[in-house]
Amino acid sequence: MTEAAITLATKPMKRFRSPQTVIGRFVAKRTYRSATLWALVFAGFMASKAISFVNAYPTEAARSKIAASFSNNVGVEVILGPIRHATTVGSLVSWNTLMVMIIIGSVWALLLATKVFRGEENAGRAELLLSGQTTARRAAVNILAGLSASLIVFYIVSALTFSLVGKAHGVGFDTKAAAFFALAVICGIYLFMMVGALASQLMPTRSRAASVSVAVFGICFILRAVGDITSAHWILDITPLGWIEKMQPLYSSQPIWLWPLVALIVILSCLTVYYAGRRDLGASMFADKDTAKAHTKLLNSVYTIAIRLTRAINLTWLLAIGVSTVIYGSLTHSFSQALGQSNKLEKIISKVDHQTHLATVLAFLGIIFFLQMIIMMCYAASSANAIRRDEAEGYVDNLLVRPVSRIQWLMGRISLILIVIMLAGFLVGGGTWLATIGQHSSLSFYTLIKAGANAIIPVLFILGAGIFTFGIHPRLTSLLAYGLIAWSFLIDMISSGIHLNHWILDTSILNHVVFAPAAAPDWSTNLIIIGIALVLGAIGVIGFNKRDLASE
Amino acid sequence: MEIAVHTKGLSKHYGSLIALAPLNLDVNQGEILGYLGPNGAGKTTTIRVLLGLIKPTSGYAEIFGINVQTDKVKAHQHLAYVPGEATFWPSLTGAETLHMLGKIHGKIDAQYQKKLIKLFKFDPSKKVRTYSKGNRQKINIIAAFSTRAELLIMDEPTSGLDPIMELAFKECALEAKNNGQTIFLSSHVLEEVEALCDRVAILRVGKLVELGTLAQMRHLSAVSVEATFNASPPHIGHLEGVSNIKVTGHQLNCQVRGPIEPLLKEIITGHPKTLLSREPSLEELFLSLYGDEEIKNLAADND
Repeated sequence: MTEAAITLATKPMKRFRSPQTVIGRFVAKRTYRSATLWALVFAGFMASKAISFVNAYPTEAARSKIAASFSNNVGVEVILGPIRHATTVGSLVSWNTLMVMIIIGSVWALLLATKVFRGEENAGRAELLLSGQTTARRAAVNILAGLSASLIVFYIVSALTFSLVGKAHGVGFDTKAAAFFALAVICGIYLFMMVGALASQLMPTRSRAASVSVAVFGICFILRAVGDITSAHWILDITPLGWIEKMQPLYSSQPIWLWPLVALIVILSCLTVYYAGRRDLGASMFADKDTAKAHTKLLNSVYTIAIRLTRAINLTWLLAIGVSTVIYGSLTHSFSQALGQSNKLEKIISKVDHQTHLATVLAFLGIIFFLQMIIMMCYAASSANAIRRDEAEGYVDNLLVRPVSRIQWLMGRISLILIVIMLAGFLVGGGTWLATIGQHSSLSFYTLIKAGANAIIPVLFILGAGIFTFGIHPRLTSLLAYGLIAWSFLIDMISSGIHLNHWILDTSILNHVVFAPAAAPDWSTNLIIIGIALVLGAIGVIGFNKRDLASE
Repeated sequence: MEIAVHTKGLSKHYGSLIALAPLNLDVNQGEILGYLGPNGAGKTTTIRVLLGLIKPTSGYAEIFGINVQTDKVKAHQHLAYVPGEATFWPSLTGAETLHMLGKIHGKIDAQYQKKLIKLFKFDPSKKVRTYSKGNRQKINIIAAFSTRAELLIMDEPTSGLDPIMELAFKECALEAKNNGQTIFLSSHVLEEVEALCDRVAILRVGKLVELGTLAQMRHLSAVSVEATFNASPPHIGHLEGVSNIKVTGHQLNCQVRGPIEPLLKEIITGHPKTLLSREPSLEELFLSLYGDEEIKNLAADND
């Protein structure tokens, strides 16, 4: 150890930094970067939407017309909620972005909470922290404080950037409204973060805690959708997402609905702290079975082992893609009717507007396939990251010290991911066809399967890029794979409202893919992308075969 | 006699840090070689290079004549490995993990595996995440021994095991040796190495500083002498080859290299009550190779 490192390691703690708060500071330090990043992504998303609306609906009359075209549209209300008081750009922005931000932010938050609570406990690192000058309850308070500190950073960055968006020409909402909108977003995210924290006390593993939290979010989402699309509007009063919707940020702020959210956050936090102190470390309120009968069917070769060890996560992704495809597909008819009523509507939902003017049904499906494309890209990034995690945590050592070559192991994993991606593409195409059969949409199975195949092209690129990074610079795998998706999405969103230089546009993989079935797939470009993905993947595989294994 | 492990100029650098200086080492088939060194001496680096998990900066290593860098898979067919830290998939049970590791290796002695499971008092029906560190380590040990591989590479295999399980491990290691298997044993437990190993290699800051049988090492090393007197011990500081002189009341402790006669003459002049002379233990040999610098550092820290 160098003198400098020794000096740093033994540096006395600053007087005001109590050892009682060290866990909180540690958690905050580990989480504030991703909070800041998401706040900036949200700001970019809001900016793109605001500018799109300013350009597409410059007058109050135009905005009223679009609002009328969407009134009583079931599909839109399920996803985004009802459009209210759409006389201002602010109200359109609120309607179009709030629920999307809540969905993305909540999933991030609950995964983060389960990671820092149950994930750290499962990994055995919590023991180290709890052996310090603390108790389980105090440690839980610290972790909550650390997470809260990151959310404060999230709030400050988003409130500042949202208020900058509000000052843009034609947008016209003030700083106070922007701050309230940011508060609505943060409250939603905070709430589901606390759901994740509490689930981590109740469930024995991180994956179970995350599953339960996602299920709670799903129930809240469904309740909110039911409250919006049926006459039972009272349901909105009993679901947190309904409360957020009723806050009506950016057009008719209702701070009263903040209180039930705050109360629920406090209750969940208190329960988290209570259960953290009540149970043994590693234990949970709902204990898992410690023993099981051995099932060895898929544990006989390196390929089948890959299937066995990733089957749960792969099936979950496929299920999520399949279910969302069927849900969106079943809304095709009502959505396309709404599109037919407004020739400017397609400009609200980015990208498709400057690529196609095809039939409204195909335009809607283009958007849906685009969304599925993003989900599948996330799957590819998560799979590349899972390969890296197996190396970083030493799992792969168990296989590579036996007669298994690195290429054999990695190709086994990649082949499985490719199969899942292809299945997902088929599910998107075939599932949409199935869901639209009864809607007189006259969509051919072949067209939709082709569109599904087209949707996996950028997914293959992300996988290739992920494998490339894994082979060359493994510690950057996650950052690069997810970063590419976030960057492409952001560029795509911004480009729908602002004219961007083509060099910048070309850095987004989404800019090179046609959003079929809204337009016919460009197979020559697709082949080039596949070629690039193959080359990147091959370099990654060769790089992995040649480099040293690298731990975390 | 066939050579199980052969390294020639094998080194590993991380930038300017020399994790392993050029290492020339042969491990004979059927022997147990103890590989010793303090933390950071390069033991695990050597093992990871031998396993082909990391590339050497220079030189090469062979397992039964097979180059581990160019033909890893073939080399791995001849060996089994026990890491110091067990990382297994938490959702699998112990039985599933053992089955999987056996299948990946290609062949195992199923009867012997059952015997090992009983010997180590291992419950394979539990999920890996519920096992203690010691129990997880048992999976590694059982999986390795049950392959009956010609070469067993073990990196601190008994870490986390209780003393009874350590005895069980020793039993298995000796049985493996009697079967003609070779063991490359990296360990901090000097008693274990002393009890099991035919030869010992000692690393210091990435360099091999000692290699031989314990008898050879003892022969070359200092003999410990302890004498008690009725009065103050005689002065022996001027004698050649005598070191580490320690006087506590009427007791004298020292070490002597080379001829012992001058020391004995001097002790006799003091009319000793008791006199004890013995060869150094492995711990003393180890400390004699490491002691100077580390002890100085410790003394400086204490000051």
